Amino acid sequence: MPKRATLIYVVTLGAMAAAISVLSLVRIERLTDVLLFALLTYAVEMLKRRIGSGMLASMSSVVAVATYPVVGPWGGPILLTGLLPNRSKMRIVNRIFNVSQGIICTFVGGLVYVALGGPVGSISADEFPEILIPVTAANFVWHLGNFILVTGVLRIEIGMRLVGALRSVLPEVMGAFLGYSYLGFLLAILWLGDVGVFSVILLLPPLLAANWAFAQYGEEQKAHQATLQALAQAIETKDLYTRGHGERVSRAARILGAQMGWDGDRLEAVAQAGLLHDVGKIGVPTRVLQKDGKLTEEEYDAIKLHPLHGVELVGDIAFLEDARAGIMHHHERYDGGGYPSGLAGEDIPIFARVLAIADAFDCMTSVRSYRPARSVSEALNELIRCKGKHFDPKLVDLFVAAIRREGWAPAPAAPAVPPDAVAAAYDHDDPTQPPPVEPAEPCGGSEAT
Amino acid sequence: MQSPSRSLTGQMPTSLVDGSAVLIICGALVAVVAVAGTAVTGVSAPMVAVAFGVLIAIGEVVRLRLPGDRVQAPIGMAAALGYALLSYVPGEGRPDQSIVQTIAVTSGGMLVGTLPYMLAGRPPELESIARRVLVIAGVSAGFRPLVGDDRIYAWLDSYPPFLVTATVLAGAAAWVLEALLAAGVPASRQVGPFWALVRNEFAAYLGIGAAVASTGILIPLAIWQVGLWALPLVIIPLLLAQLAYRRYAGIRRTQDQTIRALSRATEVGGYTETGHARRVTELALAIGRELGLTDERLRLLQYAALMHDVGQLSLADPIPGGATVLTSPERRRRIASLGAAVVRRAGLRAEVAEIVEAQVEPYRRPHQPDDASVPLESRIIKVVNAYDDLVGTATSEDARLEALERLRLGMAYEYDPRVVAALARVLARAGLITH
Repeated sequence: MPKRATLIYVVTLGAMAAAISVLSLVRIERLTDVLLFALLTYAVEMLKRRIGSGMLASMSSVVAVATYPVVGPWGGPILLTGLLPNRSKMRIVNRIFNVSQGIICTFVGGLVYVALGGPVGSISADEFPEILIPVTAANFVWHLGNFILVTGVLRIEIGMRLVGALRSVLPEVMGAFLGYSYLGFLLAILWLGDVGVFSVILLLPPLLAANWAFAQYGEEQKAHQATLQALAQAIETKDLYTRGHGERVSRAARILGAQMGWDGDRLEAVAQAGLLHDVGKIGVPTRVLQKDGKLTEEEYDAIKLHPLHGVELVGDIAFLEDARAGIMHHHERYDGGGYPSGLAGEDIPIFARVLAIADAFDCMTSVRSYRPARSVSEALNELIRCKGKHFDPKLVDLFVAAIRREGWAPAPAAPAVPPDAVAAAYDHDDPTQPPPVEPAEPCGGSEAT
Repeated sequence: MQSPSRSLTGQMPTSLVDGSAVLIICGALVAVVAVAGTAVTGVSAPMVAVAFGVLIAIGEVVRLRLPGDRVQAPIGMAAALGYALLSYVPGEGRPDQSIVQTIAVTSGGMLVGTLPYMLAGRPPELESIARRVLVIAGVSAGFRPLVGDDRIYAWLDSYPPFLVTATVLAGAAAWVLEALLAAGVPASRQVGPFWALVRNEFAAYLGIGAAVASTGILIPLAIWQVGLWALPLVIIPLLLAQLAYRRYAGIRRTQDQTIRALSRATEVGGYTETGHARRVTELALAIGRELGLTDERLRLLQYAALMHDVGQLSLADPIPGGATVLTSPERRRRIASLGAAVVRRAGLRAEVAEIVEAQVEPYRRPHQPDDASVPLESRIIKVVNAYDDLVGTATSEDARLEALERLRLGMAYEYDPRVVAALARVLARAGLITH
């Protein structure tokens, strides 16, 4: 059940919308046009339900702003068709809210359009380019009004902040605003033209094609995520203790990336790099990965090759361009003692420095056959202790701050390992307990070979 | 070593004419004649010509590469179509540009638009430009005389629905013409039955082609009302479509690369021989085309072929020699079903898992009719997988013929004779075997 405050808010909007609708219906001169527009709105709503919203989500707003050059500010009532009974499971309160806010925005935008001298009834070539001013302003007002009214209800329901919300959706809103505003204007031009409503049908194929491609994109995106995970899981049959390691490193890398102010593609890339950082272990013989005892030099060398195998594997995936360097160098040490290249300090690619921290952190907070899991705060202290030796000190500080603020859900205490499984007596990621081939001196000294 | 990949996908030695070359030569001839003709007679309505030329060039710059390596320039093509179908411009009156001028503006705009690609060392995609120029030439040849002739124009102008009908018909003709020309290139290379190639081109062209054609029709209609200002506005819906297609094509490419990486995991892990999955996939696709599969099924076949050995990842250690035709059926069956499980987890379509699972089944059993539950895709992978294992690293024609002979001996139950015959045709056409 919606909150009381929400109900009051919606009822107030509904009353305003009803008043505007009554006023509009009295003032309207071109009744046929309004009826056709209303039909179009209804068709768009039905279409949305049939083929999923996607790109069509904003189409009702496009139709609404297209009424300005035809009937001025009085086109609001065409949105009333959204109240008609249909098979959608949307609650009646939500539907009333949607329709009401649409009518109010349409009315206010229409007033702006007329006030700035937008022509009503016909558009000719002589009116260009001045006509673009009222069109743009009216659309801007429409979208601004829509944004304010929607944030209003979200604020009451879930306490969302206006300014923060504006910042997060602004780029998206602006893009949609530019594209869809002029689409509505084009609809009005064709509507008022000699060919009239028929030409509007010609707008449909590109919009439907766009919607189709958009839906395909969504499906492929989902499938691709699953494929990446399958790739990351390819190593898990060889190494049962590391189940979920890739996904947790990905999560930690994302937290650190966000703390550094990354977003969008960059953040996505570092998360993918985290997911796939150990994928090259597929190229390390299983008996070495599961060895229960000291490693020989050769065996340890085989393990040290896994970043190179990883790069070999993901090398052709174009979008992992940045991630590649991270996978390649995630075992470099800040003091230059790591592998495969022995890079030091800022020479280590930034993605690799991020992954090194995320990797070691998840390893320490997970159970291993030779030791129990450490607590999160112990692991953080260990990271701080190894600052400047293993890890980039600035990044460690950022990571520790982010984890202390956001918390961390570590690996499950007892991984589902069958009792007869062979488990290695080492973990190559463990900074406190390197594989027993090395002098057992945690994060001190140089391990360069 | 002779790599079959290049010969399988490149030009076939047996085809007499290459459609791509024919298309480019015809397009170039038409363009040269049109530009020369326009230079001699002069340009009519230069402002309109420049506006369209610029939009065509922009459309060419932002062209798309759709899945299946189909290059499209939706905005450029729609603008060119709109220019060919122009029948009235407010302030300018009747646009009396000739057929040659229409073609000259189109080809000029497209060539300018491809310059940035050539400067960056990327392929100029002359074939797709030639295709578009020829389509526009055909449409202008049919439509420009209607506008140019005084009597016909007066008749059309007296009743707008006539003009609208003529415009719509010409736009639809462009749609069909472009799909046919696009199908002509693979058809000339004989990579499969002609009807299947035409059907695939039409299917791939259906959505974006309809969007291009309807925008091309809208351009003259909107210009009637508000003049050239309509141009940027009319492009908006197509621009949205193009952006959506671009994202779709991008994620499809990435997904293909990721699946290829997953298929290589078995090689890096030492489970299979390097290049095996790639070779099997290329040969399987060539056979699939030869047998006239739809694009949709070719895609399933491609994924299944890449993943056909992925089940081995579920084994702790490689089996000696890989999952070749030489290991026992039980073992191969187990790997196939483990592979199907990985495919399901990897978010691929359910059919891909079914194909991977059924790849070890014989196509029929003793005293039984052909087993319809074994998909054609599985039969293809079975044959190609066995062929690649039997040929191994040998490079001689004798080795290939011997492998083919071994497959023929298994045609009673194991290997579908249709697929083996198609394999022989594909190999013969690529010059890898002589009959």
